Amino acid sequence: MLLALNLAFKNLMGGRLRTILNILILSFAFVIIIFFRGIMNGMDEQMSRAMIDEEIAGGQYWVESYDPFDPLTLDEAYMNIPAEIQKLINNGTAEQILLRPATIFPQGRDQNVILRGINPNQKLVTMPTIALSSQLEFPLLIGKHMAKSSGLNVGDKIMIRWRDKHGAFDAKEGTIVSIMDTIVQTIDRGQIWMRISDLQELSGLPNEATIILVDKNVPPELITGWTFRSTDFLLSDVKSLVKTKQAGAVIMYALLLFLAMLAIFDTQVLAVFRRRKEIGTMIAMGMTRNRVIAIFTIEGALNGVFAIIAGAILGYPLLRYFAVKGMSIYSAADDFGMAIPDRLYAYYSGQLIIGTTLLIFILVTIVSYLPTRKIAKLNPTEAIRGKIT
Amino acid sequence: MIKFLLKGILRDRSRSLLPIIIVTMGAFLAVIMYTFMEGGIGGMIETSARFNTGHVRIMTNAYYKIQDQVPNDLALIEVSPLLEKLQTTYPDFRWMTRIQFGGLLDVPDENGETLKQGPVVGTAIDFSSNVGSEIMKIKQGLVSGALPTKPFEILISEQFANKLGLKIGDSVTLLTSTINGSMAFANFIVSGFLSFGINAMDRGTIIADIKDIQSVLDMPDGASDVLGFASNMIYDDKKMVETAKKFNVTFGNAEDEFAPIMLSLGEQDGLDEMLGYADAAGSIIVGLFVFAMAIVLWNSGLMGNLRRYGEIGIRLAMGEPKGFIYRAMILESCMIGIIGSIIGTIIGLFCAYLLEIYGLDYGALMQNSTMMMENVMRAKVTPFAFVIGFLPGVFAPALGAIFAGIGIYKRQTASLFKELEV
Repeated sequence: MLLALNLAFKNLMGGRLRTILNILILSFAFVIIIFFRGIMNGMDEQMSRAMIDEEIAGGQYWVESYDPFDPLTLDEAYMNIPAEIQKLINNGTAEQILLRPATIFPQGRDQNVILRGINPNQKLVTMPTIALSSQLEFPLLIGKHMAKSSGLNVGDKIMIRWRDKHGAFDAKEGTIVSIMDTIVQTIDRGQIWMRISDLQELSGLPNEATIILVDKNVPPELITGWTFRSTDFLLSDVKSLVKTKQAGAVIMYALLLFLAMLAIFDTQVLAVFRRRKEIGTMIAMGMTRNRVIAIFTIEGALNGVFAIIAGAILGYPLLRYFAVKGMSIYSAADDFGMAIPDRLYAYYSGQLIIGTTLLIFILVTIVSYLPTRKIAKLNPTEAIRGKIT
Repeated sequence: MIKFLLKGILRDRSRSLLPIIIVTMGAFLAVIMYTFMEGGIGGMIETSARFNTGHVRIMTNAYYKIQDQVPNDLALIEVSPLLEKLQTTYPDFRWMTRIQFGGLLDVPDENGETLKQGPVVGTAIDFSSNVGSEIMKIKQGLVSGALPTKPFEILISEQFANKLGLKIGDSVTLLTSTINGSMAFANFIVSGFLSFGINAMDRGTIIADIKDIQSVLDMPDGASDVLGFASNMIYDDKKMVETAKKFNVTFGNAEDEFAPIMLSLGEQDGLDEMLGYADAAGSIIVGLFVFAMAIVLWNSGLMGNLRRYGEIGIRLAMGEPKGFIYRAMILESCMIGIIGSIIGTIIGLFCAYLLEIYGLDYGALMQNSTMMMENVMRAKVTPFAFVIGFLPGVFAPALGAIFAGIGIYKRQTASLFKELEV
């Protein structure tokens, strides 16, 4: 084995420019695959983290009639909080949210919004709801996009009109006490947060809620009238987006790898063809065919090993830069309605690096082996004379 | 010479097969990337233009500053004379006036009480001229019913109408605010259902006649904005930026908040940034592949030279100048590039054509999207798609051959016969 390695290494070094080019293209493919997949992983990680931290918590119970994509369901999407959930709320492992459609009148213009009532002292999500503990009579919390689209700032008073549970219109003036900086569009755009006690009172819905946030350690239960939505379900849009992007990128990886493998394959074919006398001599001197095949396969596979080392050395600055400094996204990206951050930071997991390394090494080994199968059929006497059949 | 090289390429598979495969892949990739970008970005530009930004858009300075709030109290007034002026000054443009508004749509039960109520985004266009409905492709989007012909008739997005349980001919009430801030109620008859295939539009849109909405919102002869379109409906950024500049010099007045201001499509909603980003992303990816292809073809050129060591040696021994052989090698690689590019372009165009017909549906991913973007992204086969594959396809092999062929100059004529074992 050591002899085979030694021979393969020497032969590879003898190739000089050809070897350098093979290593260059392979290491290039290696770095590009890790880079793009790192960016995708980073996107997935950032978006999921932001949504879990700020919106989802450990999962949610929804009133059965609630459909976030159908604002018409909001009028009727509320239900009395059942005893088993009330218990969780009392011990701090669940929080209730009530949703009601409304209209606000910034500078006298109307704008449709969704009022979201929440406990200001909740600890399940990282939204700055504590601002709603203000001594003001009717404090309101909004996101930065909502602030921009409505022209509202901290301290501004805003008239809100809503309908109570009987369908009667009512209106009241609230004060913006805080503007949160969030990338999660579903808690920002068109949303106004207030104390749940205020919203329940205004809409005549005491002890009613639309959504129940639960802690990640709370096991889901079957509760009549409520549907449990796991984090997987609530993150399915993010996962789908990442999967779609990944699927598109796979074509690019495949083409890059195909190019690199073609180069290796071509090198191996030529090596077998040009060194037929050498192969014949080796076999004539008693080396088994399998041993010769092994030498040539190892020679090809070493391309992969060196490419991985070269990729690690040459690609490290680039990969590190995008992991630390990130990559800016065009400012309108959040118009997609998803939690897309302003900057994407690449995230390279051990699984990604090891997986890509193994993939390249295995592919290179297979591609290196394929042309060497000719050696098994070689007639040594013919080969020594420079003929290959 | 070309005939001789072509025969060599066609007869010696080992000389040409691998490079042709590589070039074919590169050309295929360039064509697919380009057509999909053109289709996706072009589709987005077209959709944005038709439903949101126009090729150019005119509004008041004050409206422009807070346009996110749709401040109709700051909208254009006396639009008719402005429209006449525009039609005279810019005869090669098509102009449409528009009012954008929001409100609640109330569906009554048999007793006239509220049965259902939902938020709507409204657009009012002039149905008396065909420009607005033609530009917004209202007829194509009409699923059932007809365009409004009588006063106070509206079109509703089908998806939204289904949720409200509406039928053609039903009466609905729009609750909104006038430009003076007072509440306004108006009854409308549903004349038709629309489906645009754009989530942002299909969620809850109504389209009404501008005269009806002008009367509801107390804005006689007013409009939120005026959209302008090149008569051939093709967006030319340079031309539109220039048009907007000239308009603002002639008609604009930065000091007067109610003076009109014109913006090109690229100057709105960060679209130019997005287009630049998409262009850069596409160029980077194609660039990466050209780089990768050049390396592989360089390597393959080296292989070719090794394979053809004997042939090159004999040609040199027979007196062919090194420069001539070197140039022949480069020419041969260009021919290989052209052959590969032709094959890659044909395959690429075929796939692009399929993508143009069927497209890829991203609708499920854009349920919260506010972007004016069709749910189905399609490729677009343009004349340039027929040649784009040739850029990397010819450039990369030539580059590879230039580097790989240098070895010819290193051959010593004196030792040729020894090398060739003659």
